[in-house]
Amino acid sequence: MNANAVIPIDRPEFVLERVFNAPRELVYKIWTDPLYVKQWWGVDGSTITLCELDVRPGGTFRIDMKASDGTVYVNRGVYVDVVADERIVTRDERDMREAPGNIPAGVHTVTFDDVDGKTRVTLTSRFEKMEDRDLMVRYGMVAGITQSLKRFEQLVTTIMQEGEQS
Amino acid sequence: MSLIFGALAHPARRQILARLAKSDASIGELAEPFDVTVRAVSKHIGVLERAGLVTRTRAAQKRPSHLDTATLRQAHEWLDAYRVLWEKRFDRIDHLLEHEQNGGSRT
Repeated sequence: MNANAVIPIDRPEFVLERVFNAPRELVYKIWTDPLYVKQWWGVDGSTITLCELDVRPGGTFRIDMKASDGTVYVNRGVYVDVVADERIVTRDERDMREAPGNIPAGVHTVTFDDVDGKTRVTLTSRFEKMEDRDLMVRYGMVAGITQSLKRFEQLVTTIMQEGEQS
Repeated sequence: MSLIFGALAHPARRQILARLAKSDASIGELAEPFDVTVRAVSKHIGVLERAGLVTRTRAAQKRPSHLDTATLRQAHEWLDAYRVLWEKRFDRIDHLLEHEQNGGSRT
């Protein structure tokens, strides 16, 4: 698996990268065509009951996800920027805090880069609304470190190791 | 917003957390191995406290600082869940791409 999660130390971002063994146009199509998005968007055990994507700057999207317990979660937002085959920026309209995954509203930038016939997809999520007091409490202060993972894990590991050594 | 983040970004504060991972310690004990004043350590502890990473006992006279690993763990768990969510989506996209390129039709 060639996905990498990165945590920039100076920005409130979460970055995930993956190289797909397919041409950029096809990857872009799978990312933007509702017929495909329906098949990959949900979480385990869920089904997508509605998927409307108006993929152009200013266009809106709506994806209804029916969880395994029957609850339907509506994921709505707007396409802030769209450059076909290259770049998509979306902004969530509402929090999905109650949904599986506890996802707060964010701005997501996806870039598609051609790498010798393969396609590198980079997802960058910014959770600006994490500043909400309410969210801070709910997520414990995950807020500032949404960007996390690898880097955060490293920090925690380093802290624990330093503790063991001293 | 970046309370924990900012707290972890400073090397001195990471050292303090590392020390506290071993055992609780008073401000004086924390300042000892470092070439810093008690006041500087006190300031760092304040930052760590506000981030929820460290708690301080009010009862004892020395008010020892205590590493609250629950905060670290909570943050870590949420981030990990978000990463897993997207990795699973990427896996499904991978399968769709494979299917498409093998001449399969939409299902």
